Amino acid sequence: MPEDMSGTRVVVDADLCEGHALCIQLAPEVFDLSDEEIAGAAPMDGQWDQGAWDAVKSAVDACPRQAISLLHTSTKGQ
Amino acid sequence: MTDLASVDYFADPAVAQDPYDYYEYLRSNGPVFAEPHHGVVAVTGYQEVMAAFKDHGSFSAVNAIGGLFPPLPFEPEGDDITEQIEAHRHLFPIHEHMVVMDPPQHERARSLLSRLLTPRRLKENEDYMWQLVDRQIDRFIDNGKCEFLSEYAKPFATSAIIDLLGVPEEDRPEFLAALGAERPEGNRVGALDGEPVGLDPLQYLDDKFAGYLAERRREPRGDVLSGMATATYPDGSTPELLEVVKPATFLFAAGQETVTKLLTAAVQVLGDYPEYQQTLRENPDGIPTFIEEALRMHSPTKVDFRLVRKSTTLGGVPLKAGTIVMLCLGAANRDPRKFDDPHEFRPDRKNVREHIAFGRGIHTCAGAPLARVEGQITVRRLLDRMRDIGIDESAHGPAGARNYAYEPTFLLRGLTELNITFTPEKG
Repeated sequence: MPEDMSGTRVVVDADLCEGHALCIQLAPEVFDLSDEEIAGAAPMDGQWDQGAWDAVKSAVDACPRQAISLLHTSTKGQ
Repeated sequence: MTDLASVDYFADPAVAQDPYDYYEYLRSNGPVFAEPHHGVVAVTGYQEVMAAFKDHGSFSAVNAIGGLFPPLPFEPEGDDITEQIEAHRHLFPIHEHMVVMDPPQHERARSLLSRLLTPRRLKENEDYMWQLVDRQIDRFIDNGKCEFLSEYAKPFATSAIIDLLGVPEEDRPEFLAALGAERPEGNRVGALDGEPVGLDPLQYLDDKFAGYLAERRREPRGDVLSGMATATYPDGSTPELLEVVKPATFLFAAGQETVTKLLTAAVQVLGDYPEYQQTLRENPDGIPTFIEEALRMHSPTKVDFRLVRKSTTLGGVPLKAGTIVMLCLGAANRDPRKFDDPHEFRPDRKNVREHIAFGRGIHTCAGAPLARVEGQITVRRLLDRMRDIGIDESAHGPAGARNYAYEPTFLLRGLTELNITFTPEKG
C-alpha cells in the first residue's frame, strides 16, 4: 500500500552537499545541480507518485554526505 | 572449523584472510555487539552504522584509523570526554589529517577540498584518463597475461592522481619512486601485531606538496593543486600553507591503496563470473552498477573506528563515553535487513548504490567520484581490448577452489596478487 507522503518535504543541506550527484542519478526528476554544484530538490507539488518517493528515499540513503532529509510537516492527525 | 567466539579480530591471520564468517558471528549477536577480547563495540548493522556516521556529536573520529592502537592516551572520565579528547588530540596518530578531525575543525579543513573532484569536474579529465588506461594496458597486452596489481592497478592509480593534481612532468619519476617499493617501512596501517601507525607516515610527501602549493599561490594554473592553493575557508580567510599541504598529501596517499583494491576486486569478479564480460561489453551502461556491486561485496575499507565522546545508545545498546566503536563497513554492506541475498553478487539489485564502502556523512570519501571513474574506465577498456579474461589457474587454482591471498590487516581488504589471462582483441 502506498504511504501517505502528503506534507513531507525534501530538504538538501547546502552546507553539507559537495556535488557527488548520486541523487541526480537516482531521482533525476526531483534533484538537480546548481551551477555551483550544489544539489537542490524540485519544489513540492504534492503530485509525486510512489515511484518518485521511492527514488527520493534511495537518494536519502545513497547521499554520501547524508545531506538529504525528509521533513514530515503533515498537519493531519494532530 | 574455527571457534569464532575465540577469534581475536585484531590479531588473527585467518580472519584477516576471510573476515565474512566472523562478521556473521558478530551479527548473530546483534547489530551492535562488544567483542570479548578488547571490549571494542562492533557495529555490523547497516542502519546502525549510518546512525553512528550521522551522530558526530556523540561519536568522535579521533581514532578513525588506529581504532584501539595505540591505547587511549587518557583514562576516560564521566559521560562526556570531549575536553579530554581535545587535550590529547595531538597524541593520536595522523592527528593533522582531516580523517581524524571533528567539527568544527573538520568542516574547515574539508571545505578546502570541496568540489575539486566532483563528477562534473572529472568529466573534463575523462579523455586524458582514457589515454592513461590505454597506455598502461599497452605495456602488457601482447603477453596474454598479467599480474594485475603491479602491472596495472598500482601504476594507473598513481599516474591518475599525479596527473589530476598537477605534479610537474619532471618530478614524476622521483615521485613514483618515492611511492613505490622503496617506501621506508612498507604499509603498516591495520597490521595484525598491534603496532600503531606512526604519528604521520605521510610526512615525506609534505615537503613536495608544500613547494607545489606555494608556487601555485604565486601563479595559479588549471589543476586541482591550484584549486586547493587558492581555496579559502567559508569565512573568506586564507589558510596557512601547511593547512593546505595536509589535505593535498592525504588526498594523494589515501587514493592509492584503496583504488588499487577496488580495481583489483572488479577484475577478480570479471574473472570469477565471466558471464558479465559479454553482458557489459554489449551494454557498457551497466558498468557503473557493476562497480558499485563490487564495492559492496568487496569493500576495500573493512572497518572505520569512532570513539564515544558522549555516552549514548546505538541500536538500543548503551555506550559509555570512552568506548571504542568499530563500524564494520564490509559487514554492513552485507546486512540482510538492507540487501537481499547479501552474499550474492547482483549488480541489478535495486539499492546497489546504497552501499557504504566510501563511508557516509561528513567524513565520506572525498575521492569517491574519482575512484568510481577510474573503476568504470578501467573495466570499459579491459573489455574493449581483451577477450576471455580468466583467473590464472597456475597461480590461483581452478574455479571453485581458488587460492587467493589477501593483505593481512584488520583495516583494509585487498588481494596481494591477481594473476589473469586473456586474449588480446585484434585491431
